[in-house]
Amino acid sequence: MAARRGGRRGALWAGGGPRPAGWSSTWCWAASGRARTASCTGPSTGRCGGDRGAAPGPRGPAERPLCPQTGELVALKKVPLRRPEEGLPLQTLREIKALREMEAHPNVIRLRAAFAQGPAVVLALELLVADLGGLLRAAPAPLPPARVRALLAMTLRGLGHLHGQRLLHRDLKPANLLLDSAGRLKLADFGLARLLSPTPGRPYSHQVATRAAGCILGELITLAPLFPGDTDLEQLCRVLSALGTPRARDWPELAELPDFPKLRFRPRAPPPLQLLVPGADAAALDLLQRLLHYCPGMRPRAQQALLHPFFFGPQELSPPPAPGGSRRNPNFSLERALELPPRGALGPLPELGTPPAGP
Amino acid sequence: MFHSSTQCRHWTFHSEEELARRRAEGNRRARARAVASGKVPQGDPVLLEPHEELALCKYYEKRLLDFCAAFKPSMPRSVVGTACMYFKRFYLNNSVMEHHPRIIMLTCTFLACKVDEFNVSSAQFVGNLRESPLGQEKALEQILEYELLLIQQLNFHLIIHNPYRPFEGFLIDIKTRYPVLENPEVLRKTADDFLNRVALTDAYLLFTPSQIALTAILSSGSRAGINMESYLSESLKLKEDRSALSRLLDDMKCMKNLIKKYELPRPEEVAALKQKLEKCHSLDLSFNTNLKKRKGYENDEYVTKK
Repeated sequence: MAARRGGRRGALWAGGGPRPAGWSSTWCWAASGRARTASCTGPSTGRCGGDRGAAPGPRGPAERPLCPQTGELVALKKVPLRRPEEGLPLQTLREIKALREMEAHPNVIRLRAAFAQGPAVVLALELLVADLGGLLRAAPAPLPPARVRALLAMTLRGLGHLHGQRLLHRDLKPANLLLDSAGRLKLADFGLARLLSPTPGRPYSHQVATRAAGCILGELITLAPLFPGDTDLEQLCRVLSALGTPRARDWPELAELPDFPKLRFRPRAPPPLQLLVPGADAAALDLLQRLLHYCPGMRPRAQQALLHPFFFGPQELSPPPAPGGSRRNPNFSLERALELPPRGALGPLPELGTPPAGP
Repeated sequence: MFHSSTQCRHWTFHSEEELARRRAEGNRRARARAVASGKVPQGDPVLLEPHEELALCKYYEKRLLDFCAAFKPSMPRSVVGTACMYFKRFYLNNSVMEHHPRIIMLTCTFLACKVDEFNVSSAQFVGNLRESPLGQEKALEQILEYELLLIQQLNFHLIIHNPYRPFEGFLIDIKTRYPVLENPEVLRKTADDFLNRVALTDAYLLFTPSQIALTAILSSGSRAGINMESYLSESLKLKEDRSALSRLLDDMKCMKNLIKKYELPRPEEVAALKQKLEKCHSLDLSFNTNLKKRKGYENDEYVTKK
């Protein structure tokens, strides 16, 4: 909570993970406590967007506090136009689109304001102090089951809300699940979000997202990605070796997928799921099995998954570790961030067959 | 979901009078600013009246639709609908005297392509303009300059609900639950025609997409001599709610009226108004401070990069 206490300005960090080309957002903390109101030049109308009163001047918004009418701390995400000839990047538009349209939910990040600053757009988002990726990296030992339960439940609740509004996040991963100081989890980074629409030939449904929730459950239990692959193909191989090759009776539509005929794999029966997630109890394994089911239609929806017996039990919220991990350095530079260890370098998968670590 | 959407909460208005009031207000603001700038003496006929602005908007909106119809690769209807709606929303609070509708119309279309994920590059986009390469480049520059202003003026509400999806939904519903009608597909052509015509009116700002879609279907039915009121009263269960039914019928009548009332300004009228418009713009009434900011900002960016 150094950001809040010290009101540090200009302490930067990057949103997790490598970005698609053309996208480079800069996040920063902006202190805007009530005490600072006098020095603020924030929006005076109190309306989101269209805040033309916002801090004009030669310095970028990362340098100055913003004070929405609530006087709370916000994170400013400034999106400069990296490819000026295409105008506003699609990712930003998707993010604005999704966050402006959505009704508030405790497990989804809130967009407090959006305004233009020269040729850049600045999104003022709820300030959250950590992300799940950092939490998992920093965890010295497997998380207690009550915490895993709570974290996954919050993920699924957020997802369920999104899907109720016909939105698909499409980029679910621990780095995009942010945590507030009390440990409440919120879905963030809607740069790939899309409205669900029946586009012919592109089957993408709510259940695709619950598969990602399965991967996150695995990672919560083992503290390492379930299927760490650097390329699509490597990822596919990892999945197939862990879950076995899909059989036609599990997934009748498989053969209709456009790229299906291009690759052949030797049929392989799945090894016991327990080998993939040592340390998981029976209920967790059952839920994982369901969430990772090959056929999207067979996977539970977020709201259905929440009714699984896995969630019957205490849930525990605890504050995330102090800002650290990728955000340890207050003099963050984007260049340095791009050289951060890639996703696969979080550590090897626990050796198959290690005895489950008790809670 | 429409009922929780920003379109329903912020951009669906109660009456035509309210729309007229907002437009008049936009006109008044622009006039006041023009007079205050000292470039135009008060009462000078160089400035446009609200009804003249509206005529120009209508003309450019039609041009927007023509541009989209001729666009290569062919543009999905929803993108066209979104672009059209952006244009309507923009000039609800702004004046053509300050922002030239030609460039706003292109910016709306450009933004709609991006928001609705109809992926065309900017070069491809301006390639659709019948202009020299230099003219295209200039148009693109202007589009990009206005993009942010447009988004701001839309209050960052970018998702548009078009009547096309509910239209398909009603057709499916009729096919499954309304056997009275043997082949509902016969309604499609006239209904499409209705949707194209209603898009030019203010209906998008006054009614929900499903109301518009339903009206398209019913009016297509009545054209073909099919009375579909039993679909409303039985299938949609409106006979139990008389007041809702009569409200719906009123809205439908109102929409049909909008179409009947709609007329495109005559070419000679447009020519005269365009002249007036160009004169306004030659006075440089645009209060687009954004452009100035942009310049200063770019310099700053340059400095920080160094």
